[in-house]
Amino acid sequence: MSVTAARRWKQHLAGSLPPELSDEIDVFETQIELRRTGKLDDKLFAETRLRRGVYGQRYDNGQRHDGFATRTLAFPSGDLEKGPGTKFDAPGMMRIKIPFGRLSPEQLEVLAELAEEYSDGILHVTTRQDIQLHFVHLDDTPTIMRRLAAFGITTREACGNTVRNVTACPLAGVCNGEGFDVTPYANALTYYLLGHPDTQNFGRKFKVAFSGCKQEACGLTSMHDLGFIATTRDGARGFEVYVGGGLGAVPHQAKLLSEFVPENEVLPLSQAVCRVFARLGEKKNRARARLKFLVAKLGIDELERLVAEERETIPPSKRWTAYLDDLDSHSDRPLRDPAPLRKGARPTGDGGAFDAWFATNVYAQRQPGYSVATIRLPLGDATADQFRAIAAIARAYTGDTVRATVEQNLVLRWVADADLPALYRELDAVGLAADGAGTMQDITACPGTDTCKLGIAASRGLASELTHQIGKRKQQLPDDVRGLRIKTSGCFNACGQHHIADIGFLGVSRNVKGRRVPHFQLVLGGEWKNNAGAYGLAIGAVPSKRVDDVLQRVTAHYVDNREDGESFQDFFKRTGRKATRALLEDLVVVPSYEDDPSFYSDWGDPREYTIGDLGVGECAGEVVTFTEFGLADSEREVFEAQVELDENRPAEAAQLAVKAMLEAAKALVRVQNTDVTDDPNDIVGEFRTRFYDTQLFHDPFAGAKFARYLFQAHANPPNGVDRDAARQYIEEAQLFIEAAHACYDRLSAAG
Amino acid sequence: MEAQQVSAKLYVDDASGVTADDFIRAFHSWIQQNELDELLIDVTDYSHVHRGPGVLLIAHDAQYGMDEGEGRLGLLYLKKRDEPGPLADKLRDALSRALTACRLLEQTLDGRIAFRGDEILVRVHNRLIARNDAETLAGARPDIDAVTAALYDGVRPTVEPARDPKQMFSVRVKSSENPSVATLIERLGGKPDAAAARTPLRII
Repeated sequence: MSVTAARRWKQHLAGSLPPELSDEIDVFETQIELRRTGKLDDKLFAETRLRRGVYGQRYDNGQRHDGFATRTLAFPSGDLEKGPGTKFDAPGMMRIKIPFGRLSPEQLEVLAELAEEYSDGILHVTTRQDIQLHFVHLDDTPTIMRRLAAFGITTREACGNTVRNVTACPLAGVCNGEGFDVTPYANALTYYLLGHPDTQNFGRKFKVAFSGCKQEACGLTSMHDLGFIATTRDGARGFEVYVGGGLGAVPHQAKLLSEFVPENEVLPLSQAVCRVFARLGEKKNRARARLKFLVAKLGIDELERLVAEERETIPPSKRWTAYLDDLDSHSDRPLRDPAPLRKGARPTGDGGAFDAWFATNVYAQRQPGYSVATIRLPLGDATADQFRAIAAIARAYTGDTVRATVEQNLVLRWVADADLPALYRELDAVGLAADGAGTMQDITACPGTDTCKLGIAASRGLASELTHQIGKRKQQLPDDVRGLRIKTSGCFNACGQHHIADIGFLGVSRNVKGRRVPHFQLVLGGEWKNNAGAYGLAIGAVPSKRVDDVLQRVTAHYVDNREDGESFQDFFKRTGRKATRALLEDLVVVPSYEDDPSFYSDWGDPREYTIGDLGVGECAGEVVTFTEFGLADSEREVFEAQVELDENRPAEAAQLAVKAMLEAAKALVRVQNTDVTDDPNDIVGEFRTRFYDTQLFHDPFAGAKFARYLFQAHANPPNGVDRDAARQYIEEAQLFIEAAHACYDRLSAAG
Repeated sequence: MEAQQVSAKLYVDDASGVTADDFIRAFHSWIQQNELDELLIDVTDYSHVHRGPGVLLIAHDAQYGMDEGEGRLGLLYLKKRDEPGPLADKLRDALSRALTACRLLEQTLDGRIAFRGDEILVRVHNRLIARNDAETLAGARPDIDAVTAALYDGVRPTVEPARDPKQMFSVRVKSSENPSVATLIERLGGKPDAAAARTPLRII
């Protein structure tokens, strides 16, 4: 689109936008012009646009490796940037905030239009119930914002150090096990915190979730900065409140802040938590800036005291309770009368397709005669035509809203049971009747190397391949295997939520004889239910091209050796990670490039996965060998640390984790100084001088974050640690080792 | 009529010998070898989506895709970012680029794919400038007729508009003649083999 078209849209929509949104977008449009003319600092503009949902995308630094070499992408804007290292007119991603995933038919239609006119025609549902558009140009973003605002959607605070999209259970209001419908509370908190002065000074993002019950996955409250679980006390509504959870590089389970917060305290309590976080949360070191680190530092009791103290100081607001007078206004209203699905009404002659869909994609609502139908979107993607079709189907059958889910699907609620066959046929006509929702085929994946700047491996490519392979054998899978959840993340930031999957995969890279090979860390035993009740631990890295073999072997091992009724989590707890790793020993071996070059490219991307000229001389080769040995030793030690933790020896686990970091650091130091001793002081000193001070170890995006893990552990050796602390040492050691691998790759590539 | 963000899609005659993987490889090789007169950025694969955009070659202000929309495979060129201008010019440019890409793909895939010359889907991806209604069609018709007259050597093709007002402005041009892609390029004043695949692919 052009400047002219943007102006025309602005004129066309004048008067149809809420004034405050209109003003905000005008300001943002001006800021774009200021940045274009160099009158606005690039860092400031970057945070400004992030807070408007305008995100960067892979290759926006103007560099791309085409399989042979890194080439410059000569964007017309030349050196002009929209943020540090981000070319001004490189296409990017637009994240559209959809509070608790609720979308009206009209909103679905405008999203479809925007995808066709400004993006690549695809609407992507994220793991936070947002919608993303990719390959969007900065100049088009104000028009996109205006067209969205005309339908009540804002992109404000979809990214940046802000309160991100408030998520909630997509079954809220219709669930059989919920305490009550959390929708109005999620809605009220969304708009109370949006743009609130107390949420504008965070060191990092802040994620909130609502769940209707404790036992299901619902809102995944345990992995949120602030989580609410509906409960009642003496007939009065309230919430169990958790704080300080989060995935990312160092996952933390949220801690209980209060067993019961009455409904009229939800907003002021949240505000108090935000104020404490803004006041005391880390600001300089991004790696330690999430609320989870503040909770770990202060302890939950102290945080509780601070929040209570803060709560007393906040000037009261009518908005805290005004919405409570109108809770019912957020309830969906069914379009049709309840009606059962009569025997004989099920379609026949479709090879059992309807029955298969019904078995996995239909949930009987609390309200008799109604069901929720899940639309399983492959990789969270849908076309504009499909969104329009869903809008039409929603109007015809439910008359109301659709909700996006954190599993990257959509759900239609309040479908009269008798309508299910007709609904199925209409979905099938537009390719949206795939069965398998909530099963092994329904894989969650972050964007990974497809479009994310931070992606290390092709999480979407892997998910697509696994979906395809599992689809071929799904009839042979036992029900309790088919029901396992798989989640893939392209890097340690864990946007694919691999920590909470039964079987998770995390993208990493490995150097094999001077060439990079895409790998995925296998993470087993995470718990999706109980609001993300437990995080899995890494077993080891396996070559990307062998992940399906690994998956088959792990699940077969479970099927063949489980005890009666033993869950996947319990089975791997019992048999232990050591045995699992041994089971996969032959699968981690990477064939030579000459024997099978396919291992050296990633799924869906035929480019070689290597970077730069990898030819190495003999001397370097010898040093490389030392380093490779050292890095392998460090991985072994961190694995042993996990085993110690499994066997409930946190002190030993933490000691081993620190030792693993030292081993990895020493391996790197030996690239430059083969005489480094085994003395930890010597190793850390050498590492600091040669790799930290020189910034050789610095991650292009995370900076010095991982090096600091080593320094902190060395300065404060583990002493009297509990399980949580030991787990953190292990997570940090894993990240440090990954960073050491990456650093070594960079050194190898540079010759 | 004034227009912008115009796309043109030409349909594959027989796609039985090719897969999405072939298109991914071909498009990556075009980036490596700088085959098109555009800043080419990346390849993205949406072949998992029903009747979706298929495999896309993302350029800076345009995209080329092996589009699977309507359940029919075809090469779709879309100019994503341009200033408004006469529809005839926009259409001629979109067709020229689409045809060039079709010809290049035929060559890159060693003749395993061929495109039909008798049907073209034209769309304007801008609802403000071109609503999908009779008024827009009336305004667009002279430009469409002028360009297609050149394409089909005076044989007037049929022009079928899409009826759904929620769709983008969209017309299907059909001719009784089925010229080759090379012929269509020549009729638009281009050279059919100006952009031939020059070297074998160097990808895994």
